[in-house]
Amino acid sequence: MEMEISQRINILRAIVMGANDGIISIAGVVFGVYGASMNAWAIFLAGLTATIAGTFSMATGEYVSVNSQLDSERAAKATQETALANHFAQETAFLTQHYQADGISEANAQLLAQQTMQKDALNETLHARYGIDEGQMISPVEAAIASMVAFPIGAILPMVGMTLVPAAYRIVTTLILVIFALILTGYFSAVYGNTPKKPVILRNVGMGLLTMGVTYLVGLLMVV
Amino acid sequence: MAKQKLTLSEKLNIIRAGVLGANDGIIGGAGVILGVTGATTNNTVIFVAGIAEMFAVAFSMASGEFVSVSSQKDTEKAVVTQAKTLLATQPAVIHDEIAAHYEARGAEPKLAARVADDLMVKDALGHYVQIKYGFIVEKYLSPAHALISSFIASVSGGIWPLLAVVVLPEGWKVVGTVVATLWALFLTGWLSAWSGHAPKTPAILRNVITGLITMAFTYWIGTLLK
Repeated sequence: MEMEISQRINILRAIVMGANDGIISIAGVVFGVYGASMNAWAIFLAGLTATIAGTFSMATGEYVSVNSQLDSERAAKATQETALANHFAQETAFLTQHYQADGISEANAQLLAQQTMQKDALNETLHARYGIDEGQMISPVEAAIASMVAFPIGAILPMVGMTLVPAAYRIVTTLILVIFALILTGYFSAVYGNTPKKPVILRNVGMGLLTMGVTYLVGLLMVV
Repeated sequence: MAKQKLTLSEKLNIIRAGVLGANDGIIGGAGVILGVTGATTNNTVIFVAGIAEMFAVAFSMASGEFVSVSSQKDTEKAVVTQAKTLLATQPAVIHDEIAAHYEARGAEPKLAARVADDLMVKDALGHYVQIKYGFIVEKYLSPAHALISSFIASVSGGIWPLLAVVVLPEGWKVVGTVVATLWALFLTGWLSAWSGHAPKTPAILRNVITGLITMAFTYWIGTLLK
């Protein structure tokens, strides 16, 4: 979980999360429409448009989110550059106080502020004031592409189960496919997150079942 | 778990997360409603698909957040336990890591060692964990909180296109949904820029344009299915 590795893992996690989102939300949609006793055509239509809309909203959400974070960082950086150019002494004093608050003695804090400001004043004060570290961002495009590809991959399983399988086996097959898929995404997200696998898988499958159950109930209520 | 006061930037982060959840709800909901409207004039199908989608997206958002925050919490707890053992058995290792960190940031070796001396006295564990793993001890996010807030955020976004298509009269459904969606996206774009201290125009434009593309594309797919 060192910082450098975390960048690459972020992409892998975006993929797993995207797929997971695809599985759960599309399973929820098809079960909801099924609960409202709609015909196979309506299930297919709702599932397909939800897949396309979900793919778009995942991709644009990631893109917009990472971009707005980059915007904030750029704004903070510009503010800080001006502050350093005009009030270098004040920034050094701020940094000294920041170090002292961490528990460093006054004498050491003063020296430390001087020396670190000499090395990379911008980064040091950005870190102290805004908690920003340079070079930690993933590119917006990468994140968007990762989720955009992953969402429909996840969505395919409940779609296939609900529309292509003969009516008698539809529910059982879809449930099995979805649970199997959620075990997989839970497993991989635990691997990339470097956490114990069992609780992650259990939580993931549990939440998926809950989603399908609730949307099915909502569907049933709409018939009445 | 110690309850600590949230700093301004943490509050803004929560707002931003909420805004993004709402955004997801808006775009997903509008996409489905327009897609189904493109394919059929049957209002019941549109309504059922819209409701099912709103709940499904809210649940999938909430469960995604829940699972990821839970496992993050597990990871952080494991890291803290490990660091505690290290601190008890080999404090010198921790001292040297802290010193090396400040050396890398520009401090002379002697000063870095003195700084590490200071930090070993006051909250050595917290400093070590923050330096090495980049998070603050005992400031775990709550999984339940993440679950509930992202569910609410998603529904509070997804409800607008759904309301528009349900409430508006026949001829106005499509136009009304588009307008309601764009308005909601304008608001979330503005809020996310505001909460991130970022310029507002690019954030709003990105948001509105991506929403327009999503709606146009799903509507077009819908008409193909007719």
